[in-house]
Amino acid sequence: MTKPRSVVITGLGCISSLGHNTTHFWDAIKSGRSEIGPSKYNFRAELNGAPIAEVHDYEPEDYFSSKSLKLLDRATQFALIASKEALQSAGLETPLTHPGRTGIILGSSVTSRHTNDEVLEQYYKYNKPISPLAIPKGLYNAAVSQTSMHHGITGPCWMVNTACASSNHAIGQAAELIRSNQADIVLTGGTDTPITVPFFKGWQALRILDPVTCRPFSKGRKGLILGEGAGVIVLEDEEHAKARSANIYARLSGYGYSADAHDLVKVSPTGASTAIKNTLSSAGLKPEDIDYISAHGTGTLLNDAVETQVIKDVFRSHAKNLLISSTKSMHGHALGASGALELIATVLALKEQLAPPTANFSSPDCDCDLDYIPNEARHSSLNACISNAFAFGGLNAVLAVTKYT
Amino acid sequence: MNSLEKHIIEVIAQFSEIDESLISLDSTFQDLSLTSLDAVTISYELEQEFGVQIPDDKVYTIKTVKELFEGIQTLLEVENIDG
Repeated sequence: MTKPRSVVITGLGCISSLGHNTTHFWDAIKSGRSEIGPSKYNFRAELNGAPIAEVHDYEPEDYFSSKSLKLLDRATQFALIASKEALQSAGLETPLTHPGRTGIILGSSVTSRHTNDEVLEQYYKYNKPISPLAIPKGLYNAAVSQTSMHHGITGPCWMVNTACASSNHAIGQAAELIRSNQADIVLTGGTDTPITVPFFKGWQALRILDPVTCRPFSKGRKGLILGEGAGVIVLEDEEHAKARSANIYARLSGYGYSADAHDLVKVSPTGASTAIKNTLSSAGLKPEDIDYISAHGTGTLLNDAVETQVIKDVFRSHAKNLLISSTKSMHGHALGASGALELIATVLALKEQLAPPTANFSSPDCDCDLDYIPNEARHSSLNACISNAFAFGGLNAVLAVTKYT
Repeated sequence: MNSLEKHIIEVIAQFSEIDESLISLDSTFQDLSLTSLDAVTISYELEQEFGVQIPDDKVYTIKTVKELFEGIQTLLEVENIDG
């Protein structure tokens, strides 16, 4: 019987409000720097200064030719930027020359939203004809298809859409492709650019946006802050990575899923607990093995209280020993990209033995009484971590990563 | 080269970011590294400008700059006769 294939992480790439690459992202996380504020772009002027976590100083022409931009939605651009960095960080030359053995699985909640909103606005508001590029540029799978074309990825490729859990579902599926020997290398993660004016107003109408900033688990939290960006990680079969002497960041040791089957917007403790338990089981870890939890931690009153209760239910007496934080306090909630950004932070936390903080934490809340690493990163011995994602629609996905030794 | 031919070459040059001097009536879209989607988009831009429409069954069969020119010119002539 052949040995089961093990999945390791060999590359990281991202773009977010914390910067255009992983170095800037991690520097901000380490220092607890939150990048939330009014938009500086004209195309978001109608947000009237509402706080968001947008990618700063981004000029598409710095990365792409004007010809190629005709077909690249903002979310696709971010996916291409993050995947290029991830491949470089993995030491992989492109185009990839592993016919059929490399794949890409990305998650997104509202990919191509900018393009599709713009097309509708031009048509309905200004009575403009629809361009032939509207469909190919606005495809919901455009980010994956363009990335596969750019890098010569010819194995399994698809997009996952499970709202805020999209990245985590994508990463779990990507790992499964390696475990089941359908691919040796899979780029995975997520991309999302949800801050269009009508979409933002939809979130405002839900009454769950904080008017100032994102302060998960803290007293005084009033909601989430929408963000944007992309995170891409390179997953690889461990033996494949060792054979090419790749730098291995961490081991992706497990994943678990569940559905609440309960409510579209209210997280269920049962569903979230099940996903965490399934992840621990998949990774062969006991609750007391976990050192750090990258929380879903949206900053809404309900999510953070329920997530705290879920952690207590699953981890019992070990809950008080856990380090827990939400990096959404710094990069906002980038919906389908959040899970990937948070996993990148978790992987770097393992690598540097430094647990990310929860920024903007003002004072403890009676419903949230665990250790959320307020405002300052903390050096600690980290060997095993999980990263939670609990999506609208009651879809949950949790990932486990462990230190690579 | 008449003014319509010259204009079509300018539009293609602007779209494709290829120097005009490298584009001739005999250039194929393939020579210019333009995809079928690029050809449809260029046709669309010219259609919008001139207020004509190349028939759906013709638009994907245009392979050269000359064929695009002839397609647009024919439509403009018909429009002038009708008009």
